[in-house]
Order: sequence, then C-alpha cells, then structure tokens
Amino acid sequence: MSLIELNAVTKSYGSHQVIYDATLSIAAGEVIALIGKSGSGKSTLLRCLNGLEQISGGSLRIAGTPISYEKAKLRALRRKVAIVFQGYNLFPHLTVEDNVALAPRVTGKASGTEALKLAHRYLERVGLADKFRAHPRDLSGGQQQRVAIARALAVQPEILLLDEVTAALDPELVGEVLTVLGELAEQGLTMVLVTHEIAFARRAANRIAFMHQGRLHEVGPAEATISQPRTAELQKFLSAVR
Amino acid sequence: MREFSQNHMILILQGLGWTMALTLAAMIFGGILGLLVAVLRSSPNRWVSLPSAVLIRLFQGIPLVVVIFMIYFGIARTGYNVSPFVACAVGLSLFAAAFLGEIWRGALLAIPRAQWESADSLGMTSFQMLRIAILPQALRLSAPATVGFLVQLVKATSVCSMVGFVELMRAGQMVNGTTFDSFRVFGIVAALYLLINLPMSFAAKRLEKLKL
Amino acid sequence: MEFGVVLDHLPLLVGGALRGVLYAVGGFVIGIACAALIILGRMAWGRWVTIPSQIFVEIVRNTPFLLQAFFLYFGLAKLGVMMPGYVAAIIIVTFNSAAYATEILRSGMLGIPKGLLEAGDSLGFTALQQFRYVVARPMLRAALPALSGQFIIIMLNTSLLSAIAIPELNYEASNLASTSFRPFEVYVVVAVIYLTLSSVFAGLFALIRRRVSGSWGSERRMQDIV
Ligand SMILES: Nc1ncnc2c1ncn2[C@@H]1O[C@H](COP(=O)(O)OP(=O)(O)OP(=O)(O)O)[C@@H](O)[C@H]1O
Ligand SMILES: [Mg+2]
Repeated sequence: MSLIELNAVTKSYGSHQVIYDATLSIAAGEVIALIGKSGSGKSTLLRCLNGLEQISGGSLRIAGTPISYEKAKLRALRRKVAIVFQGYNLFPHLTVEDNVALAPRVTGKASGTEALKLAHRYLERVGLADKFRAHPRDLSGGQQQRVAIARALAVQPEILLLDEVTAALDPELVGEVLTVLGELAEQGLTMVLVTHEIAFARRAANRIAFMHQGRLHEVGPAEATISQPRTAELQKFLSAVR
Repeated sequence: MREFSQNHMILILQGLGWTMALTLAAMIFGGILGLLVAVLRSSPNRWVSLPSAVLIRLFQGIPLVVVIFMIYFGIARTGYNVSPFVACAVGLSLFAAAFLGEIWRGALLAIPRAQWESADSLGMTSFQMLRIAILPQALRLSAPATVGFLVQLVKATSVCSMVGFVELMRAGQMVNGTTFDSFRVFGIVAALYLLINLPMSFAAKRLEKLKL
Repeated sequence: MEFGVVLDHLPLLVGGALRGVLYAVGGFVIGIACAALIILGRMAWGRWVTIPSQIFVEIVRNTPFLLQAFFLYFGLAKLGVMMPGYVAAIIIVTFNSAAYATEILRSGMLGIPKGLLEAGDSLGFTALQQFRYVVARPMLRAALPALSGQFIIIMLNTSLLSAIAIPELNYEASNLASTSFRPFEVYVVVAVIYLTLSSVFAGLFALIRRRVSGSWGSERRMQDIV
C-alpha cells in the first residue's frame, strides 16, 4: 500500500485553478523530487500534502486515511507529515534546542528532559551538536535550515516535505544541507522535496515529478527522467536550468 | 418625574448640535494651530521647536478636563467673564492642535529630505516649497490618523459637560435628571455618538488600507 | 497666586491620585488579559469570536468614556442591574483597556511573519499552543510601545470617574476648588500631579521595554528571520 495517494487532485484559488488532475502514489521510503518552473504549482501541491492548503477536488490519502480538514484530524496528520520551508521560519524568541524540543514537548507529550534529549539527538544528526543554546539569529542560513530540518524530524514524522530548502542559501552553504538530506534519504525516510538542484534530485531521489502549468507533466525514475526526458517541456526545462 | 417626550428628544438633539459645533471649532482652530505646531516642531532650532514640544507634552500628560478647568478658572481670575463654551472651545482647540501637530509632524518627517533640498534648485523659498509640495503630501500621508483623531475629538467634547456646558452628554444627563429613564436616555445618547463616530472610524480604516 | 491653602490639602489630592492610579492599573491589567483572551478566542473559533468582539471594540472605541460610565452606572440600574460605583468604575476602565488593547495586540500580531504561524500549524499545534508558544511573546513585544501609551491615556481618563462619585484626584480637586475659593491654583497643582504621574509611568514603561527587548532579542533581528 502506498503511503501517499493522490487521485485526480485539483486545487483552485477562487476561479484560478493552480493544480490540475494530479495523480501519484508514493511508497513508504521513497524520495520524490518535484521540479518545474516558477509558478507551476510545486509548492501548492506540496502544501496540500500536510493540509496547509485544502484540495478542491479529487482525493488524497495519507497512510490509507482520506485527508480531513477537521481541526483535530489535521493536527494528527501534521504529526505524521512534517514540512520544512524555504524561509526556515524558526521561532526567533527560542533557542535552537527549544525550537526543536517544543513540538515533542507540547504535542508529543514528552517530558521536558525527554524532549530536550530528543532535540539534541536530532541536532547532532544534522551536525549542530555545538549550537544547542544558540539563538536562531546567531546562526548562518545553512545552520538555520538544518535546525528547521531537525525541528521537523523531532516530530518523528512518517513523511518529510521540503520546499526549496536550499533556495535562500548562499552557494557555499547549499552543500551542508544537501548532505543532511542525502543521509535522511539513505536512512529510508519518505520525502517529497521541491528543488532546483537537478543534480541532487538525480542522485538522491528515487523518482522525479516534473510539474508544468499545474499538471504532473512527467513522472519517472530519477536517473532516466533526467538523462532521457520524454516530453518536450521537460527537455526545454532541463536545458534552461543547466 | 416626567415621561420621556418629544421635548426631551429635542433637547438631546440640540446637545448634539453643540457637540458638532465644538468639534468643528476645535477642528478649525486646532487644525490651523496644529499645522503651526507640526512645522515649528520639525524645526532644527531648539528654541523654535520648544513651545510645540511643551504643548504636546502637556496634553499627553494632563487630562483634558483639568486643562479646561485651568483655562476656565484662569481666565476668570483675570477678571473677565468667561462662558463655558469659550473655555471649552479654547481647551479643545489646544487639545486638537497638540495631537494633530504630533500626527502631522510624523508625516512631515516621513517625507524625504531630498524634497526639501530641491526647493533651492527649483528657485522656490522654503516656505513656498512647504506650502506647495510638502504639506499636501504630508496631509495625504496622515489622513488615516487625522480622521481617526476626529473620533477622539468628538468623544473629548463630552468632557465639556463637566464644566456645565450643555452639549450632547450634558443634555443627556439633564433629560435623565427629569425623566429618570436612564437606560433609554443614555442609550439614545450612545446611539448618537456612534452615528457620528462609526462612519469616521470606518473611513479611517479604509484610508489606512488604501495607503494613499 | 496663593498656593498655601492648596498645598495644605496636598495629602487629600495625592490620596485621590493614588486611588485613580489603582483603578487604572487594576482595570488595565484585567483589560489586557481580556484582550489576550479575545485574540486567543479569535484564533481558536474564528468569526464566532471575531464578529462579537469586533462589535464590542467598536462600541467602546466610538463612545465617550463618560457616557459609558453613566450608561453602566445609571442606565443599567434602571434595568435592575445595580452595582456600587467602584464596580462600575473598574468595569469601565477594564472595557476601555480591553477594547484598545485588542486592537493593539491585533496589529502586533499582524507583524508576526506568516511563515511562523504556518510553522506552528505544521507542527500540529492547537490554537492555544500556537498562541502560547508562537504568537504571545512577539505580539506583546510589538505591542508594548502602543500599550504603554494607552495606559497613560486610560490613567488620565480616570479623572472622569468623578462623574460617578469615585473619589479620585479630579473629584477631590473639585471639592477643594469650591471649599478653598482657589480653583485655579487647585487645578494647577492637579495638573502638576497628573504630569508627574504620566512621566513616572512613561519612564517605567521605557524601562520595561528595554528589559524585554534585551531578553527577547532586538526588533531588527526579529525582522532578519523573515
Ligand atoms: N494563496 C494563493 N492565492 C492565489 N493564488 C495563489 C496562491 N498561492 C499560489 N498561488 C498561485 O498558484 C500558482 C502556483 O504557485 P506555487 O507557489 O505553487 O508555484 P511554485 O511552482 O512553487 O513556484 P516557485 O518555484 O516560484 O515557488 C501561481 O500562479 C500562484 O500565483
Ligand atoms: Mg514554490
């Protein structure tokens, strides 16, 4: 059974349709990279997966359960499906460890010390063992982004969504975040990531989904899809970003 | 004790008229004086800006009712016979001048220095520049806060009831004193204040959103 | 000018001033708590709280303080809802504080980056958790300057409570003005007392603001995170 099942999903803002007929199954442990031009609907589709955006049509099942926008159900969903944003969105008034420990403590019912331990474990995992007590503002962009990843992981989700998590970073900081993502992929975490790093997508993802004008235009195995794109639109997109 | 009647309503509406008159007077005199306050307050010369600073500080730190009493008894002390209306109009005008001055000064500060400096190159005196280019912009910039202040001003006129001037609030109290129909009387008075103020409050919010 | 007789009664005036401050502080603290509850309610229940609270806010902000006092003290008594003057006074001060503080907190909340709220949502926070851990502190900090200004306005407004026979400064002043036959001098002294009080509170708030911005990080850095 697939972990995520999209069936003919559509999304409109008022009369403006943004996602058309998205059908896709994602198995547990799979890594899917969403690529495509700006405005093609990648973020919107991703945000549908944890209910930040409500789908307008079709069906969406996560771990077999149809998505529900009832508040309590939505909160339960979000403990299964975590998301990391391009802009980190760390809580500026909390230290790094508190940022990570907050959700386990208040939603996961871990005790204060358990939550901190958990936070330390995930911060070590993203290579920030020396920054527990720092404030987000005192970290570089790459470090902040890794804290954001640790914060999402600390919820112990089944699925991790990542929206252009390297896009705001200076080129020399991109590598450290990609390394962390590569490790997570190897460890078998299910991930859906929107990215402009084609080379990374090719290496770390199992499959690539190319979005074009709100549609999943071409979906296929990572290596083959990049080296031999079938549709003219993907060929054009790939030659443009190279 | 008497039944609430048409005559009482007329008394209240007359009070409303006086509330409007006070507001209007304070708007006009306070507006003119407020412009002066704003301009002087923006002056780099300390001695020029000091009086406006003092005026603003006084009204931010003393209740309006106390100021009006001071004016009322202060003028009385000099031997002149003051009417409560004059004391109130003077007090409210100064009150408006202080707050409008502060609002408009903020707007003046928001206009880039370069515009001031271009006065020379355009062959204008700085007074001409102020009148033709800077003030209109500043007034537009401060429109939401200015309209918002008018609501405060209308509410402030109610303080005049405390020196015995019969505006809307005082008229309500008087009618209440003869009819003892407190809920209805003060309900009507409240409705009348809302009638004047709500449209201005909404207009202020609109203006703020428009970001002219 | 003859201040001697006024200064003889200075303790009377100072006592009135302290009573006024007590009403202001009490009502303001309860009022801010109410405002925070209103904001929380809006986050949890949306328009079922937003619409009624907005009506409350607009009614309070668009009618004079004095009228509210009369309405509550005399108007409601007519309907059989009697209350002692001091209860009416504290309710009026609370209502005014709550109404203005709601608006101030709301605009403080507008300054919180949308991404932070989404981050809280995405971590599965309830409205209460979102309020407590994500919204409260940045909102309060952004609101502090406006709140301190509002407190001073509320404190000056307690001078109107004399209308419902609350023995605050202005009440004592008008008694003294008529018994001493030195009304002008009385009000000059009263003005000085109010000026002193508002300066003291302005200084106090500035101190709090400095402490708070020290411990929560400066405004500018807050913006950097966006
Ligand atoms: N809240 C919204 N209201 C209306 N339209 C929206 C909203 N959010 C996104 N859109 C529209 O949906 C379309 C897809 O946006 P989306 O952000 O999903 O694109 P994207 O592929 O992530 O682009 P980018 O690479 O620039 O992030 C765009 O045309 C955008 O204008
Ligand atoms: Mg996007």
